[in-house]
Amino acid sequence: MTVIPLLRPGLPVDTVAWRGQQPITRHQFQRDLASLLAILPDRAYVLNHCEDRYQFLVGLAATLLKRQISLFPSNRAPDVLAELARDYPQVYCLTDQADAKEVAAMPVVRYNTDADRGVAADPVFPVNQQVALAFTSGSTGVPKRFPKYWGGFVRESQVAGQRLGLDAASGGQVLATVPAQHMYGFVYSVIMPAQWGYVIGAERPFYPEDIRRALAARPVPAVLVTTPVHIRACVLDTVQLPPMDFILSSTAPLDAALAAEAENRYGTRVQEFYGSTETGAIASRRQAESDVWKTFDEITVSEVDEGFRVEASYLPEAQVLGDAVEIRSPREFVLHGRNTEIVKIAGKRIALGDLNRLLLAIDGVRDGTFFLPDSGTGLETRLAALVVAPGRNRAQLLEALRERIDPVFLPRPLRLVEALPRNATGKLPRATLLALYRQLEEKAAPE
Amino acid sequence: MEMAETTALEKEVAALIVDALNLEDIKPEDIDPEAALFREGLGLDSIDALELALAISKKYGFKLQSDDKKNSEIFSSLRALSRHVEQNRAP
Repeated sequence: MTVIPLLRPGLPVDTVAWRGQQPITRHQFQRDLASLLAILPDRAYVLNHCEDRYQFLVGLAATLLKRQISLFPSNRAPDVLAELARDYPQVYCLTDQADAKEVAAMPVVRYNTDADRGVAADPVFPVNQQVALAFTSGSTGVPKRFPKYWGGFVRESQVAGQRLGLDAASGGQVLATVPAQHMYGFVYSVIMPAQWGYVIGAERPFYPEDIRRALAARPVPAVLVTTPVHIRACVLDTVQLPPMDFILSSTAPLDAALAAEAENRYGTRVQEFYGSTETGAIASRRQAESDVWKTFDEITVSEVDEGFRVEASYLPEAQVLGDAVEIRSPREFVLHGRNTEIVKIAGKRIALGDLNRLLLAIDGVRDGTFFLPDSGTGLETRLAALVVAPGRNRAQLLEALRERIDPVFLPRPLRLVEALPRNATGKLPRATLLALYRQLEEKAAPE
Repeated sequence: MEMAETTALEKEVAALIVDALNLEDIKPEDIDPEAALFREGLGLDSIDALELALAISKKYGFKLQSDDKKNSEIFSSLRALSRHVEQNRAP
């Protein structure tokens, strides 16, 4: 069986990660790994909840050595994690957070590498070892599960890194605003840098000023792994970022004007990835050159009735994705807006049908619907909801929703109405819905 | 429920929150200065934190940072946020 190391061997630089201006060496990694291994329980599944990206990496290595599978739920709302604990009684949470209330439903192990347990060998894993189980919210309310294997992650990192022009000989650092607990963050801020011998930035800069300071702290060519929301925040904040090799953006398509503005201001290129939980990243584009997505090596796309089909040499099976695309060739496609039934906010995808089901399940709700209004001026367009619930008030309904859904999907606003403008067949045409919504908004606006 | 008294700056910051985050259905004076802004309280999330940081930088001329001492405390309530603005605003 072919085995592949987690960290690229034989590098000129001996640094695995960086926290602020403090380098963390490979030797330190091997020591921390041995120490953490000694305290991990024998359980089949793990929720790696470590915020610090270096500690996440040590946790990943240790749990993989114990053949544990990392669960990647579609979000971390308390109810979702409670359900995960019910469905996977063998799961435990590994965390470096002192106060992680949301994981109360499962046994918690605190990240700790204080004990001296010697030094572990550089970890290697068989290509067919299952690393993760990733969940999508699913369109029927039942989350769909996708097993992910070590060989697939390695190959994705290789073809994506080649597309990005990474160079193991010269190296660099990867700084990310996205969490390692999201598939995009997992592959591109942890696995890809480890495979290419790039130094992992342990922190997760959040505000534009954090990004500036983290980049300024380490005079090494940097790749910024981020999202359209953070790029927009940096551009609007007029923060001046130190030089970067390039910016990588994913989770949602980047507005062309914003991409151009970011390239101009920061004197760098902005690369975008298109991907999904099911497939990982599959294609890239740079808007300064073209709006056509070009698939990575070994990946082809084709049209099918329900969307488009993605095949990759390293995926266990072909996947059909629901986004509306125009296929230009087996290796090229153009995105045509979004599937209106699936919304994506803050990198999280959910079916409106699922949100509506949760809404209608709330005690006292007679009718109601979530929808995405036309985009406004904010960093991200938020969902709105119209609800028929005589006797319940807004606060009660929001409270009930908060227990069930990720906060990024909370409706803003949620408006109570006497009835929804359903047509004769019970459907809610978007135009009618938006008209009613605009009417309500005008009424609510201050004089 | 009796609300704690609100200062002029708290009123100003409350208006900024409502405006920056498009909380059209909430009036600034409805925000309890002691109540949580995120999760249980107003239910704000990470994108809101970014939006607020932008609005604060524009209006008060300083930039929020994650490693500011007790960042979560700064956003814990309108009162705490206003205090942080008071201490850091450009003269």
